[in-house]
Amino acid sequence: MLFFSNKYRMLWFFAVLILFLINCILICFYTPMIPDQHWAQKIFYFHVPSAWIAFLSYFIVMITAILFLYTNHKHWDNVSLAAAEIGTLFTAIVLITGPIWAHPVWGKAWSWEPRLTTTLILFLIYIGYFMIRSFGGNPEKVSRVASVLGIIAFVDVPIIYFAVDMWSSEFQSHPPRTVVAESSSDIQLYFLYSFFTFICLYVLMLNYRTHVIKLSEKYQRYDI
Amino acid sequence: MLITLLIHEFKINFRTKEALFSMLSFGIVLMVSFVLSFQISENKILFFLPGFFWITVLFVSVLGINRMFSHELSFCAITLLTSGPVNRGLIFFSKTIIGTVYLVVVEIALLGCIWFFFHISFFNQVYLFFGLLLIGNFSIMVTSVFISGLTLSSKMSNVLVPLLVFPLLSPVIISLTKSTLGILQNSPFSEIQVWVLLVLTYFVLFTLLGYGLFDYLTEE
Repeated sequence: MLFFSNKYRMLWFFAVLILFLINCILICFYTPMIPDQHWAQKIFYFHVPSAWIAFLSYFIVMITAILFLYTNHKHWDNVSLAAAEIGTLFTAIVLITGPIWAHPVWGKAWSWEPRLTTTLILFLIYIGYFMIRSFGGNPEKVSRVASVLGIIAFVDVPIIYFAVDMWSSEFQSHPPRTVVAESSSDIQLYFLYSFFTFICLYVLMLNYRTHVIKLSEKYQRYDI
Repeated sequence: MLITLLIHEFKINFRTKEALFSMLSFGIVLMVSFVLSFQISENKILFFLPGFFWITVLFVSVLGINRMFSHELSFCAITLLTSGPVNRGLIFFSKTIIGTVYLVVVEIALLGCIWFFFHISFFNQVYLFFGLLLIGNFSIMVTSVFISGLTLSSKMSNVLVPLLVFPLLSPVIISLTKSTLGILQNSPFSEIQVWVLLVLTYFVLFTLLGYGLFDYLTEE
């Protein structure tokens, strides 16, 4: 069965599309301009929600990996793989949008500061995760091994989150964790709206990808 | 049972001495290469040395772990071992302990070289320094053995081990480097405690995860 042949999924897709269009319009024309950053600052309405979604996705990888090891039900492994793929995609977006903002504001695209470095490390761990998935050997064993790796890879997420507190301020370029909470209510509102849009997109992507993985597995089983 | 497994590990590794000697010689060569290629003056070497030292230990641990597991793989010994009535968590512990002992031997040789070539003393806060060394070694080995178990059945395990171990251990290496530098500069413990705690957290977390999950990794 095709994913979009279900009318609710189709509706969900159009809802996400409209939400995203509104989000782009709000970010471009309505969000307040920060004087010393101008347009570069607007990318934060994509950058921060992408980071949150990536962390959420890795959390889902960990939970579904535990469920897979506990129940041995293949569905959880498919969700785990889909979440890992989407999480890595959003981490890549974070690593791309960060330098786009940093170039005009810091004067250089990349800085070896704690949060950026630990995010890059997380990205590299997941590259290893996909290599295990691709070259691991026996598929059943690969699923088990990848689940274990999905659990331990989550260790890096709290380190990224608390990186701004752990390293002394001389090494920091990122704003503190409370920056969104301390910003004006206008900015907070647009941030929350953007985050809500990204959540809706994420749910759609996760469902879609899980569906595709399940189908491809089915076709492989019947050697189609 | 742990003692029996430790004797078994010690015997198969000591028979050829391959792992220990390759770790030892590789460690010294690497350390010398680092120092030579960076051309650092003696008064600045203190700031670079902790990083060089822990990166060398990381490389050496990956090499050693590859050698240790290669024996098990070539004769399918790991399958025989795990099919016996043995707690698999204890197999994980025995490999970690032997690996840590080897790392300690390599580190003693490396510290001797550092003392001889750079006249740097490690006796400022001797208990703290050796305590850190021990926790650091355990953390590195626990993670390396765990990842080796993870990639055991893979065709590309030689590539996958460093590919996973290096990023996973980078928070530990950063913490160990920071705390070693603090100790060498005689800083108070309060300045380095966050880094020592991070290493301890990693050590406890990976020991528990390794013990609990090694069963799933070696299951056929």
